[in-house]
Amino acid sequence: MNNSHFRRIGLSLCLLLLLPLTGCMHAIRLKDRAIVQAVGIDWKDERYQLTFQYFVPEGSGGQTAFDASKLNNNIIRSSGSTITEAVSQAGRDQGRQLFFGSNRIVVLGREMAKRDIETPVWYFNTQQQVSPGIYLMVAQKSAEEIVSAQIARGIVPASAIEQAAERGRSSRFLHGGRLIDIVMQLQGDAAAADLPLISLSGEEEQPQIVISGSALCREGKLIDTLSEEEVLGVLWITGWMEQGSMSFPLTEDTLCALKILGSNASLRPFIDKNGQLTMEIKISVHSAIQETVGASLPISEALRLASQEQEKEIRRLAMRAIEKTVTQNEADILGLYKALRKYEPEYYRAHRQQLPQLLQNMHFDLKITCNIGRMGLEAGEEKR
Amino acid sequence: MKTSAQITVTQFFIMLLLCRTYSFFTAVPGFTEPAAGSQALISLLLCALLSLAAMLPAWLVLRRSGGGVLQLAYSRSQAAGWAASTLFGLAALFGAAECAVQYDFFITGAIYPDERNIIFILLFTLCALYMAYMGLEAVARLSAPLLVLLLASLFCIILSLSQDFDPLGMAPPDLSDFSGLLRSSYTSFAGTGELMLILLFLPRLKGNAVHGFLGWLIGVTALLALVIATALYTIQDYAATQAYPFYAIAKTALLFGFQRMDALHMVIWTMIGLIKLSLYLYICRQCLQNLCGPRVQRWLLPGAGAAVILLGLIFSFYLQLFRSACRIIFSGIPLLLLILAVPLLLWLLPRKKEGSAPVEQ
Amino acid sequence: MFQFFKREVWRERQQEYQSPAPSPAEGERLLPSLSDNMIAIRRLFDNSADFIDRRMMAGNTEIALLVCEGMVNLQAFAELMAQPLSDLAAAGQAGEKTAKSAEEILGQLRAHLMMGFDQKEFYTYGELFAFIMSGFSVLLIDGLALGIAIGMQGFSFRSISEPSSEVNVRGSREGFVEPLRINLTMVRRRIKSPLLKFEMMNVGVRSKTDICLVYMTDSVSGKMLDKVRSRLQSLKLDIVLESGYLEPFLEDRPLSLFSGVGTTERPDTLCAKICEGRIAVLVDGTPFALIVPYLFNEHFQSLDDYTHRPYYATFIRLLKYTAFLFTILLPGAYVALASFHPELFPNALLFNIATSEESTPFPLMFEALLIHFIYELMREAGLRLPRPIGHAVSIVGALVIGDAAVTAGLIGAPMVMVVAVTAISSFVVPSLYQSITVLRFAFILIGGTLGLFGMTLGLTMVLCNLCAKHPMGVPQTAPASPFSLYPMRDIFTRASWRRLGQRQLRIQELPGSETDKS
Repeated sequence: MNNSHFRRIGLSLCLLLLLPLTGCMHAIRLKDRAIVQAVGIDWKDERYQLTFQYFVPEGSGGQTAFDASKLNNNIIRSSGSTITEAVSQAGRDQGRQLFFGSNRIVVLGREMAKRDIETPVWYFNTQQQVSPGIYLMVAQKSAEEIVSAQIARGIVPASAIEQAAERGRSSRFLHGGRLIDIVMQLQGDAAAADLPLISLSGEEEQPQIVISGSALCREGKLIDTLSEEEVLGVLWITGWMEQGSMSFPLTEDTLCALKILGSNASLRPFIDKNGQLTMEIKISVHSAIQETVGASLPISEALRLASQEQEKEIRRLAMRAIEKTVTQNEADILGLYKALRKYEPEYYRAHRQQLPQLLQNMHFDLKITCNIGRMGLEAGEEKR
Repeated sequence: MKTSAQITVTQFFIMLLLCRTYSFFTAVPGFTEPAAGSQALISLLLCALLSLAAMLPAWLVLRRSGGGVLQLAYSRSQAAGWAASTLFGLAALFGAAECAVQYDFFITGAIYPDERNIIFILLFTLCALYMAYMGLEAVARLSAPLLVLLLASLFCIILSLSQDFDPLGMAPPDLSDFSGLLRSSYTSFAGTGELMLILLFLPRLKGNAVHGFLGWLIGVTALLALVIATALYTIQDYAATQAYPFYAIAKTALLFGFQRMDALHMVIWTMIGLIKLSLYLYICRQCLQNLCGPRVQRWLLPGAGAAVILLGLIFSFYLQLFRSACRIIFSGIPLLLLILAVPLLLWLLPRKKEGSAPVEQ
Repeated sequence: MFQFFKREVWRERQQEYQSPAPSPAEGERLLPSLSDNMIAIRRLFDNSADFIDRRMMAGNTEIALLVCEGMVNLQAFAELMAQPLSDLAAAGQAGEKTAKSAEEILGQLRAHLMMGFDQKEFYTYGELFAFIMSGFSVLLIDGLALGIAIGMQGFSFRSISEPSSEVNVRGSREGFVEPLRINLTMVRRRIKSPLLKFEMMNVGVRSKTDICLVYMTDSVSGKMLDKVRSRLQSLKLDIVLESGYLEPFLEDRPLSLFSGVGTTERPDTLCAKICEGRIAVLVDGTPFALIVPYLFNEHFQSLDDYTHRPYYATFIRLLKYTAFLFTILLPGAYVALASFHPELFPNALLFNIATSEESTPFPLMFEALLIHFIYELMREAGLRLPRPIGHAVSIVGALVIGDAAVTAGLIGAPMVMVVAVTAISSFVVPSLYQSITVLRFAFILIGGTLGLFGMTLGLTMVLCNLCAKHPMGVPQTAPASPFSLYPMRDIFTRASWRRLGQRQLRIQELPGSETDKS
């Protein structure tokens, strides 16, 4: 028997042996999957109450198309003593396997957040299908209300929530909010995180999603909320502020709106001779005047005043954020510990067990540099 | 199959670079204690220095004798040749099984959590068998484009993560626990099975092997340092929560509107894993051929493959057994035995005038 | 079980076909007596209807003229043969001073009366038949044990036209035709160098098909040439009707997915290839020439690349590589992702796919196999159908696949899109169509059963198979791997002619090559 015969027989045997394996991997048809778009987790009666919004096509008459103007979704609810149990029950009730791969939103009810945010966070963090970029939010009331709201925008209602979160992130009135951001915050020494706060507004038939501030969590529990201004302060201090806008009065008669073109922030701890820890926060911002309302001013005057007032405004927002997060709640979501670890490693290692006390006694030195580089298209007073 | 297969030094060390990167990315979590944070960069450097130091004696011995370690053994005596072939054959067999199991853990942990291990171990090993059968040159030619693909994908990931760059992510390394740092470096060095492959493949290399080795060492260190630095500056503490941190990064990375890049990475790492496994199978076959002679040549590769599949299945089902085996590996004793003790012992043995040569493949 | 296989293999070997040996009579030498020759010839020819023989007297010597009907150019025959022979016969009758012996007649025929360039003398019956059947006129002289063949071929053949399989925007519109000698002239006109060599041989025990090795003596590798020559000389086939019959014999691994032997219908392409050290094989009766060795990247090169601007040519090259990947991987990847990894789809696309799958009865893998099978049926039918009915195929195809199947809910609309892209992509690289078709089906099966994991394994095996190939000792993946910088100027990109012309590339000098220019 020569080599080619042997090869042919060997190959045939290999293929024959492999054939039984063809049924061993579980291919699931898409119609057997419930494509979950949003998950709401509440805590009720000492159990996890889960609400799932999943995609169900509502056709327009053509057999292969769905109608994007319709709501195209279904809601299922389940409960369990663990999240896994609730998910399994939902799958059984539904008759389809729940598929989280295209899920983009997880909403925690307020009660759930007050009790524990870590369990749901770690659950989704360890799911193979789930992307680390999904948004985690806290509802003003219950998550079920948010997830089951039939908002007529996008293919499914959850698209509206996702769009609100994306818009918030890109327009910089939302800090973090992704699963990966929250996990990083919880893993840090501070074990503090801020999640976007979400609520419904508008009429019952036409609800709208509103993101109004952040939920401040420490040691895995919701402890306080941050208003929109406080969130802005957090964004300034963490260097996240970009593409946003600011409005403030220049004089009694003149209002000014600035467009933020870019900002930078750096944190640097200093320890003086007396052992006093001071955190120097340097914020530099580059803006453009978008609009002036009221009495017009000479250009040079307008620039000077705008720069001055912007600096004051940023300082105010930053101090509010520091007051709320650090002073009142000892929750470091500003990256103070990380700065200490990077620039004063010895000090950090020596005081690692007393970090919350350090926060209380920390002084802050804000240095803000505002540069207004563009005047926009409006002609100045000299030209009018 | 071609006889006297020869590949260039560049091709060989590209393969080794891929193997090392693969080991790093798919290291089974909980089996080693890698250094955390910026200490990992120091650990990387120390590991490179340890590798250089450990290889130096073998280098000097083999440079004198010419050829590889098996050729050296056979030049001393038949018994020495058999002993060396047995040792390296067993090491290669274990290395191959470990590679298959490592891949199985990765694929079932990160991508197919609901599937059975047997499918992956069986098919992965069969595919690597086919590649080993195709010959060393074919595998070597596959490596260069794969390296380009790997670097391109890493570049895409780093680019997409650049917007999350946080200068506070990298803290200065904590050198107060230097013994811990040394320990993690040593563990990392102990898992560098590629050093053994260098000694075995030396006779098949065309070019300056010393330059190749140094280039490999620098390349691997630089590449892994870049990956670690990227992780520290971007995802930092998130990586610590993931069994396969770099795979998790690939899930996050969004570039030019692509949804996720983890599929691309799964493809690349699977291909790299196949190259690594086929290299070990090739060595297994070579050692078995030295022991069994040319008469049963056609059964050696299938036999080695069957042994790898069996061992791989045992390890994947009996995790404790695998842990125990890994503990032995990461003690460093097997590697030091193979790359340090064996060459030195062989050098001390008197040269036999008519020593039989190993069977040429 | 093993014994069963062993018995079956033994039985198969016993039944191996043995090519019949040529008839011994064909090797016999001609006889001096014309009558005896004619008897033997008629017996061997078995009174075939197209065999024509005429006898005449030239002086005292009888001459026989043998032709195959329809093979000879009548005008050339009249000028070169009929008139001089008639004059010779008439001179003999008139009693003028003429040659009396056969040798003298032969001398006169050679020196004075024959104006045809292509004259050959032969001594055996086999050669006689070969000449007659190649369109030569054959003269036998009584008293001489030899024959004279004069080339005056006049058989009908297809005129030179644009090659059907390699259409270019710019470049010559000439393609090879069936007669070998006309093809040789087309090559010779393009390379006016004495270094261009044609080496004739014939293959096929019965067909005795003329083939010609074409190469440049200053570029070709001696080892490679010897290998090609010996393989062609040693092959035992009854008949060789097309160049494809020779391909497996020139390859090391004839069952491999990708061939190491290329084909071309264009003389300009052939000239370009042989200037790089390759060897071309022209086969009489087919317009497709073989080129060895043929590297994988050459499937993505065309003559248009060298006539367009470099940036555009580069774009087209990259497009071809992408099309190749699309056509083999897209259907399988689509099935794999939808069945195993739907999280990789963007949401909007996922919704569309999910909606289409809601109403279809079959799993995606079966859908993909079915629709690709129907597409292959239609393609094959369109190829074989007479042209007047060919249009019906396209209408039926468009209606059946494009509309009815989707409307009826048998297959989903995204699958139709996938098939369309796949089909169009497959025609971007027509020379790889065979491999593409097989691989496409294989990847659909693999993707549907094992997901992306299986596809990765399959792709790796295919790539490894490709990397292991050495057509004529040259790595098929060269110069990409083993890498060589200078030749890469014409692989993924196309450098300008100023750069391309700086150094002559020789195939045997690529890294990893076994042969050298000795």
